[in-house]
Amino acid sequence: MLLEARDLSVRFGGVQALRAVSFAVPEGAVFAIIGPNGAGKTTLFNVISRFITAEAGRLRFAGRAIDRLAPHRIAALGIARTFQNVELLHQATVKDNLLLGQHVHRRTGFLAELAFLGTVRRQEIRMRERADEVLDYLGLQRYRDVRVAELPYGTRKLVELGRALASAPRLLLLDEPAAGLASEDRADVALRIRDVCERRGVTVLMVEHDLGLVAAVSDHVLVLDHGVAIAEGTAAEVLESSAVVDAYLGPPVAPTTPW
Amino acid sequence: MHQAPAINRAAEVRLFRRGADAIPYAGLAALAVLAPVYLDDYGLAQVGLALVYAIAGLGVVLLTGYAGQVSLGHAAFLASGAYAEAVLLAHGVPFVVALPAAGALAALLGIIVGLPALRLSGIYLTVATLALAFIAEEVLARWEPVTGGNSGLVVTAPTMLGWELGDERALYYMALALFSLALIGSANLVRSPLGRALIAVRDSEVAASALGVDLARTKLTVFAFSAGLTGVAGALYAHKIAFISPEQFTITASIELLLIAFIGGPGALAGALLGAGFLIGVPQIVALARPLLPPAIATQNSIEAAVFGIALILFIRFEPRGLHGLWLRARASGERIARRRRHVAHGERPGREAP
Ligand SMILES: Nc1ncnc2c1ncn2[C@@H]1O[C@H](COP(=O)(O)OP(=O)(O)O)[C@@H](O)[C@H]1O
Ligand SMILES: [Mg+2]
Repeated sequence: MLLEARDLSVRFGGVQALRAVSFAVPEGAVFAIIGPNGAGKTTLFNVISRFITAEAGRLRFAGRAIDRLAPHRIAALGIARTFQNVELLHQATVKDNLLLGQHVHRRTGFLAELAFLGTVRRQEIRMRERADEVLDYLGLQRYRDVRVAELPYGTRKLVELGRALASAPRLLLLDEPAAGLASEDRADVALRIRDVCERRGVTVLMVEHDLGLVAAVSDHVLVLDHGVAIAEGTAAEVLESSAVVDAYLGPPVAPTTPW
Repeated sequence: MHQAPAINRAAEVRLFRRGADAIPYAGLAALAVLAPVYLDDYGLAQVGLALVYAIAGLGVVLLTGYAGQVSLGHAAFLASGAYAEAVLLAHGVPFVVALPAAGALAALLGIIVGLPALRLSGIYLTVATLALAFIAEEVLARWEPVTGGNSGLVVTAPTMLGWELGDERALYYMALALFSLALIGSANLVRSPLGRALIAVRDSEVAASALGVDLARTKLTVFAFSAGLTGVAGALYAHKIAFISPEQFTITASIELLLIAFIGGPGALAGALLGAGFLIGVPQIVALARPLLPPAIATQNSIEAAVFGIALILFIRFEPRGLHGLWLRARASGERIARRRRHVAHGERPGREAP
């Protein structure tokens, strides 16, 4: 298992955001977490990112305990993420955001950068090659030198995905990758998530409300409600489970592909 | 659809993408090197002082403009550089050792103050540095055996390889050389991973740490560098004034350094030079204008402070990018006019621009 969570609990004052949640994400899978607003999905991501320390439970990544690491060490292990409310550097260009995405691959220190030694110069060129590869992959090359602030929302979400991919992660956390997108863009996102997993070998853990998209791309689904994991299984199993559908997801949903 | 221009990554990484981009800087450098030819000693001293302030200004632009951290204690770094320089020279330490030591001492002081404060959010740094500023004032006034207390210290003129470098021309070239070095170093940092990390820390700490940026370490690095630059500026300042005392290093000096960044332009290294020029230039202009002003105003001795205050308000309201922003605007409209001229010359309708 690439990522293993055991009995994670998080409390914010009177709100029990997570209650003994356990799950395991196998390497090479697309693993989706669904559940109504306030279920604790983003909180779970924040625990993995180490922005929040769980009051109980354990978290292992690639066999290694990560529950006491500083947040910046998580990225260095190969865990990248996007945010529900896009956290790009808005005044910087798309390219600069993708360069920043490679910060974990920085091999130069302060003095080398102060003098801009050959190692720094070569590293900058390497990072640009990598950024351009990702931009080509996502079809964003024409926005390379455009400031993020000038881009429409859907493109920004894609840039944020690009920034996460630029770090060449093993595990990618996507918090509502299709939220706020038009339906054709959602279909595109679904294709991309599948492709990122299959062709780039990145394991994906995502939170998503669009059940059509979840059904289309996920190997495995976990349902959270009020901080409790109430169901888990393959997409088909979970989405057809009447208890889940009736209680938490509204009227029955046919797991249709979005395209 | 037009073809996207080919990407030249090697050129992009250079300080100047094209040789032509370096021409204005080369012109400016030539103008600066030849300044003793067309400036008298007084003018040279003023420009030199602006360069000294610009060195510290670079530190403030990096810390505040790039990394988004506000320090009210930079007067203490200026003071530690100035006093370290004066004391070391008085004890016979050679100038070439004393100057870097003055910078290193200020950087060390920055690390000591920054280490606890920078683990917390930005406001703690501001409060901690404010405390530092007050403590430093007290120490300068009371540690008489070393600082000379309120009667101050006379600063020995610097010598290098047996040459005395105390005259205006020598001090000017020293300030110019050190400013140039500081500018190149800062420009290098800005185009390196550290520079991008600074902007990330400023714009989104959450994103920065999720991308692997060690927030505390990054802030500490830029704070120490900023303090170090300010310490070097303090050492040069000590030589320019030749006499230092506590009242030169009050919180006012910290605020002047912030003014340099905010009036010059916090988002650009050039802002440090523009802001320092403004800080040094305004009193000169006020002195020239005083005879022309109505007596009720001309007799006020705080005209400069009023000018700084009004300028700051106007910039924050109308051009947060400061003087550098005005320059960018001027350049953009210059380019627009040039483009329109070309269109007219080619018989096209003016006002429409190529993509
Ligand atoms: N930083 C926080 N402080 C206090 N309460 C929080 C915080 N983050 C989330 N919560 C609460 O925890 C619960 C789960 O929130 P969240 O994880 O954002 O839900 P989801 O992403 O599933 O919509 C909600 O009740 C929310 O109000
Ligand atoms: Mg959420």
